[in-house]
Amino acid sequence: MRSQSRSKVTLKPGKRPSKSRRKTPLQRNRPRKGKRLVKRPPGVWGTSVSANPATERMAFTPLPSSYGHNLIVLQPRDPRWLHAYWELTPAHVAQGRAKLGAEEGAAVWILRVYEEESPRWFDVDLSPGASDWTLQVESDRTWLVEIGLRALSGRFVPLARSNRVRTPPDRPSERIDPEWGPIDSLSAGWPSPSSEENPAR
Amino acid sequence: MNSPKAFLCLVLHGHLPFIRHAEVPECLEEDWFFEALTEVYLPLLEVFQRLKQDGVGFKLGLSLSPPLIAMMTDPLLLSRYGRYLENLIRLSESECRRTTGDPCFAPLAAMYRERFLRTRELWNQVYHRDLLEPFRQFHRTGHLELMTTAATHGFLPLMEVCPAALRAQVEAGCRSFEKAFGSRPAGFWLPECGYTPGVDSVLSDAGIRYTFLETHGVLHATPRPKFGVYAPVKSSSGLFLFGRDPETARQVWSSVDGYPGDFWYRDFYRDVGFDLPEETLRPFRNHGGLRVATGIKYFRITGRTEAKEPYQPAAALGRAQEHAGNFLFNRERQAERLCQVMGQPALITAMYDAELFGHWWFEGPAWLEHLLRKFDANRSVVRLQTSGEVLAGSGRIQTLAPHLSTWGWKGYNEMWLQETNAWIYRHLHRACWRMSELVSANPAAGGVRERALTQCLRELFLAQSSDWAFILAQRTACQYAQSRLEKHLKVFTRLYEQIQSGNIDPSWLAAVEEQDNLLPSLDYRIYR
Repeated sequence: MRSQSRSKVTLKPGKRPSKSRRKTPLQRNRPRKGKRLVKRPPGVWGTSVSANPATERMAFTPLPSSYGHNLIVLQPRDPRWLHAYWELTPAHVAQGRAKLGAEEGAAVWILRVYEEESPRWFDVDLSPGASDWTLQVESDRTWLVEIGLRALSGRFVPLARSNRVRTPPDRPSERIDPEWGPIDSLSAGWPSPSSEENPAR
Repeated sequence: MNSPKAFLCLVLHGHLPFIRHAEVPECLEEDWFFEALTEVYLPLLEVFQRLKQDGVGFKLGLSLSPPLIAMMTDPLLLSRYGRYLENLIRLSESECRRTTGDPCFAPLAAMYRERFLRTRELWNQVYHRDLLEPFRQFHRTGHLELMTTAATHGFLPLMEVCPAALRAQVEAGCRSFEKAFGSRPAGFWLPECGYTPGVDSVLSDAGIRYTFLETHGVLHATPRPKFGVYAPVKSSSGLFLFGRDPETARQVWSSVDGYPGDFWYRDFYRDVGFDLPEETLRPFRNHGGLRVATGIKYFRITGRTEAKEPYQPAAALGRAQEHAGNFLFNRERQAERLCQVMGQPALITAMYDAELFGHWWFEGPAWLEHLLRKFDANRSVVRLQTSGEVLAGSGRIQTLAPHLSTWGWKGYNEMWLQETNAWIYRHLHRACWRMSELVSANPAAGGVRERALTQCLRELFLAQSSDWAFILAQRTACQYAQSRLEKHLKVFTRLYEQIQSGNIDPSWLAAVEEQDNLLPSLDYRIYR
């Protein structure tokens, strides 16, 4: 039975209060619901950073969209996904287009994805204007990508090549050390970390 | 004494991002640190002190991050903490007056007043505003095995393309620990348990003996670990690795059936800072009239309902004691099962954020105290050991190669590499590569140039704090996290340009050094 409060000021049970700035560890594993949890008046959050006289004016200049280099960087997100970001200077892009000659007009931007352990590769078509991409691959393999232009004929002009990256395995290794023959009940694996019920923290 | 069936290695990780704003009289985000002192670190120290006085043998691993250590010794923040505590005490006294005669809430208001008065006494009279000294003492007596983490808790797996930055984060963390505690740490907590191949060599080169991985970090290693996570393993560089036990993790962290969700425990969200009228709160809180949590909470979780019942401290503490007993019982059954299968004592590694104990889970410190007393009184089946003791007592240890893993959402990098935060890496990596350029071009700088180079590294470190990407993903204090990230990157860039051009502005440099004063002994030459 609910207790009766005799406080002079009634605590308001009806309205759900704003949540903490930080999620509880019990909630951290849940995918975010896409909702801002805390509403703040505009500008207040930035106040203590931008009120700093030494750096105040910097608050109003955005970070650059690129740094004038030609590169593509690959990073693993999880066993089956990679993330790539890139930047290419207009001059470098123009050189690439020039190599395509007459085919340049209908060329499309792609990532060509290479798997080191095999001769195979595949292409991922990019949206115009994209400067990063998340791409699906396989686990426990080594990958590198090239970004470039592919003509209708299939001719590919790469404009930058990435670093090599290895996706982690998503299951216990098949490799067994004969000196350390595994005890299956201990080493067979754990609920897959991709499960959202998994209490990873 | 007969050998126990298992050794339990209990490790807590304490970290907060470095937040210090001398340019404003007070700052909302600094409250995170003040809350942690009030709710976590002072209560935990009090628990440890009581156990020691009662002759209870206990052993815990405790990681304290460099930013947390820095904030614990910063005169400005310590002075502001004093003011924070005074406000809290005045608020609790106002609550006592407001709830006079109320049979439910008056005792709770009184409880909080007593707690805050005790906190102030601990802060001023017992610890004399120096929290590092009691931690040092427990480290010397062997009750706590202290360790640290990366310089600003930078997320190491996404620094693979900047190995110099990764090495510098580790080295600066170790040096910060040495300055605070007199020697380099034997153990190292990887930020977010983020491991990627190559990190083991970096840690070994820095003199680290062991670190901790999430469960699948060990289970999915190559070759397969014979004993799963129930024995220490090592990498080819000689770094010892402890794999997290999923059972102890689930019992405490699970949102479905973990202890902290028990309906008798205090509800985190029903705080008077959100419930009381603004005019009641105004004399005790500032922050531009924003509603913020105060730490005074009157309701218990009750159930999956918005209708929360008043908190009953005695019942909650009773649950904490029961849960401690339950944890011990489960560990003993687990130990018996494991030992029978393994043919040797098992290792159970239980790893948690320190902030769980007192902040997220109010009764956490009480649970921990009951648990440590029970383990001391029941040592035949499961015995507490530090990581160092486990290694000293271990025979042959299997060598294997772990792969990428973290303890974050979904177990890999996604929490720090998703739509909301993936954009940061082109900027962080560029800053890392520029730092390499600067160091190559200035192998032995002195004077103002050296200060500028060092401040560059400091700004890079502060931008690399994993907290910003985490907060952006959580969509909580996004504006603050984004502002901090951008600010440190922009200050870095300006310093970089000034160093390159040879026109360093000394007064601007001094102003930035004063603001972002983490790691005062930092030497830019560690970046290599």
